[in-house]
Amino acid sequence: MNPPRTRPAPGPTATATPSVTPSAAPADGTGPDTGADPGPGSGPLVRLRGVRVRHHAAGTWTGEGTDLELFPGELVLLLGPSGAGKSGLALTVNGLIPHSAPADLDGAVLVRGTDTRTTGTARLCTEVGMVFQDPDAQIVTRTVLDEVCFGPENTLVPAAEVERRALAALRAVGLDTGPAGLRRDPASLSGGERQRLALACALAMRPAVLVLDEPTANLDPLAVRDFYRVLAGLRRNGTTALLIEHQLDDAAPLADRVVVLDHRARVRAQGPPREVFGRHARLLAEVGGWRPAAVEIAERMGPAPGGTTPLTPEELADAVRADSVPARTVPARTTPAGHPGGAQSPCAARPLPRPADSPADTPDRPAGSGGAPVAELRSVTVRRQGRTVLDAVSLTVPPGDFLAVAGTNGAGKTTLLRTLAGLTAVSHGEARVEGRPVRTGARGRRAGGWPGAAGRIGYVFQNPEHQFVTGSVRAELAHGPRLLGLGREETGARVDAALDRFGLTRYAERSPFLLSHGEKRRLSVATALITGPRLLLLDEPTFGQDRARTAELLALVDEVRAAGTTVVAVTHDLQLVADHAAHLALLSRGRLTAHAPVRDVLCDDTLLDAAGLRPPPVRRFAARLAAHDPVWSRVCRLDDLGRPGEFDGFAGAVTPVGPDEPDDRGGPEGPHGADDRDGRDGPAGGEDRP
Amino acid sequence: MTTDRPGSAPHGPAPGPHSPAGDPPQAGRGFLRRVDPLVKLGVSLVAMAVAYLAGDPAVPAFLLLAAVAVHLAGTLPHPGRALPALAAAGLLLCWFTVLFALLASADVGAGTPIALSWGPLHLHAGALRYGALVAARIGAIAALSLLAGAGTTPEGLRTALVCRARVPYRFAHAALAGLQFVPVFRAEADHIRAAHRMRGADGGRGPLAAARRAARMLVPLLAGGIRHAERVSLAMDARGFGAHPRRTERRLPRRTLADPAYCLGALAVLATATTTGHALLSPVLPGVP
Repeated sequence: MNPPRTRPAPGPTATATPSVTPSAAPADGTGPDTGADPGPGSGPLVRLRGVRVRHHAAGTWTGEGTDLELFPGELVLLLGPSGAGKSGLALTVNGLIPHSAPADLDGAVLVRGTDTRTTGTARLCTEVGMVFQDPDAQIVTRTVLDEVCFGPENTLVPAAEVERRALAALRAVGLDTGPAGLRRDPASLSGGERQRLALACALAMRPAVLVLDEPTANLDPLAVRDFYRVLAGLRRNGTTALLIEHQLDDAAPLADRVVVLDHRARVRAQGPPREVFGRHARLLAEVGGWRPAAVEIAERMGPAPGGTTPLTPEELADAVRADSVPARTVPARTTPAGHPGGAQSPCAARPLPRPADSPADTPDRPAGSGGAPVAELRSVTVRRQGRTVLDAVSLTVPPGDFLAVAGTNGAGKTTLLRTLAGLTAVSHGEARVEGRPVRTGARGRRAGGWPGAAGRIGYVFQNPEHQFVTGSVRAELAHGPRLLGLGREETGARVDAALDRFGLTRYAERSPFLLSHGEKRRLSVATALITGPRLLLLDEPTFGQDRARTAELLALVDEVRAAGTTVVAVTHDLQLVADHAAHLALLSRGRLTAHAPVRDVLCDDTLLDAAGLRPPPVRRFAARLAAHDPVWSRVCRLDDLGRPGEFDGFAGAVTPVGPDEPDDRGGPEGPHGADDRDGRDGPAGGEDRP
Repeated sequence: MTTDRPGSAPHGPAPGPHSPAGDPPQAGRGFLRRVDPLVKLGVSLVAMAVAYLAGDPAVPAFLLLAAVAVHLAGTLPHPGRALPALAAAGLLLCWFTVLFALLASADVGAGTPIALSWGPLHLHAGALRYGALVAARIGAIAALSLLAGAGTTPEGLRTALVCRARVPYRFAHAALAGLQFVPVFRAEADHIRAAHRMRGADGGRGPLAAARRAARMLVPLLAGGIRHAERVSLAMDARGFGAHPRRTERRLPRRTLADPAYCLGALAVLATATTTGHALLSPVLPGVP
């Protein structure tokens, strides 16, 4: 039914576009709309012309007008800084803006020639299927089948056809279509399954175009992978899609075209992903967009091998194996001598002796590595409603440590953090902070105030809004010092210093709830730190945040660590763990399955697999090479591969940066000489390679 | 294909087969789930009016017993769960009887014989009868309300409202979607409570401190709730909710003999209660001659 079309060149690099089969029809069952048929030759399915959005709450127009076209059978990946209004653009495609959402539309959006200003979502919903970021906010019924049927029922599809469509959509996303599976409550599905359910709901409408607005932002890495496997399957059937995403490792390889927006929502670059990620590094850095990890790895290793930009770690590894990458990129010194068999260290009641060069012991770290542990769990068991959430967990956190806690959803990560903070009653065992038992509930209050008593513990919650208890930023900061009984002057001085340091002085009298998300995050960290805690607990601090915010937060964490604070963080982002943390604890169904230096855990695929986790990109890259060259067997940090600034042409020099110094402080100065300090047995350079 | 576009469908819900697959979990196992939710509701309302208006404690007492019996027979609950609830309800009603008898004004018992004596406490038969009447009314109305919802799922009620009572589906569905908010709010409130405890903002005892705590939680809870509601509403619109004046119903309520049978049974029970209830129950009711 679709007219033959030639895709107009979407950019200067269109010649390199992987050819999209012209016969690839959009999702089946979407014949052209009589009357709205754009007619033969008029290419795009969706056309945005100078689109701007004005949210009623904000009152100002976002951006300067975006032009974007979406051709049949094409998957377009839209990148841009937060605040550029990407989500707003997504909402214009099916007419939710201006018809449903409290926002105005400027410019025009045409869906198969239909103007969305005059045609509402009621009609466009069969043309454009949407998947939003939050899986919870898309569920309206109590069973999986009802959920998928909801859309077709609304559009008066006959009942028998409704269920046929629903079952087909569920099969397409890989959800159970057995009677028990259909009857499941969506709330009982995992986050990843719920998001695939949301995708099935969109597919059941048989749309011509899918619009996916950060569909994996709330998912853990394995769920992200599964989601994109499903989307890859749909792509093979010729689905047309507009994808807004900043986790690019799985998304970028699927894209036919990447479109980069700048802060003013104008299209600054577009083309096939290899072109955009390979050539527009500076632009991407400027707009704060993520890049695929493979691109970052490749950048640290020198010029892109063979002129093509790899999009996945595996692809890059194969390129390196094919020897199209200069030998100088071989990592060095990744097998710490003091760590024989360090990888087999699960369930240690105490962390293994740290290698002499682990981050916690680098010379600039606060002293006290031999001191009493800052936090300690002694065989802690937590039961809630008959379920064992934590099962006999024992671990010790030495001063100055940065312990990351990872595991699947429901593994007990947050409970572990809450136990340390005294927010969860312990059934058995004991939690200690700075040698004193942590007390919960009324007993703790009587014994000396709130759980973060005497400012010993700072806690940064996943949603910063949850922890605001006063009406202004200044009062919010003064709250902790006031509870500590500090004097008026001391409190004032601390508050002013914190306002200044966190860039919040302008907002001192504003309500915390009226800050932007990034400012809320900064304030929540500031309130946790203002009492000068010895222990800082972070719960998913980077979840759903863009690169700039993540970098900002990590810089803060590194800073407080340098000042002597011990950090325990729950996170899904294992690359972040690899690059910043010193130790990693894995939880699986409430049990501690590993607690050891980060490298030992991340380089043990069996441990990660058992915990239901996916190795981070650098490790996936190195593991693929390690099968052929053991030199790579303990590489998992970006810094193992050299630093981006260090590449100075084709000198051919190895860039052997000590793998265990995650940052520059105290580390060796340059790329050379860092590796010879202890005369390690690891190969020192590329000369050893065949 | 787009052949199934709206426009040509006749008035009323689009017909569809009853689909057992993917049905929500049924409430209970007995015959009550086969009775139309609106029929159950209507019958219960009529019976409640009778129980309230009757001046003889035997009538509400009879309706109370009948409602409990129908409820048990119609949902076949697990005895381990039903028996403790029944025992508790029975004790409560006995306590109510004595309590309201004591609270009755002196004129109610005046001229009637003393039925109970305990130390300085004398309960006249009239007062006891009054207490039994109030307790039986309370019990009957409570039991009949429970019976009205027994065996009804939210989906069943929604379908009945839309297909039988012609309630606009937007209203019925929005109410059902509201049910999904409950667990979301509960989790959110739990997080906020923990965060506020961590900040030391949960101190103090007594109602004043509790009110302060609640007020502090209200802002983030409302902010989060409004955001969530907006998102849900956009997601529903994106799937065509409200696009047409009606929507396909996959589970059309089937007209079975269960509905008329339930009504006839209810009539029989009401008739028995008002005519022979007194004779049947007066020997066991306190204060009834």
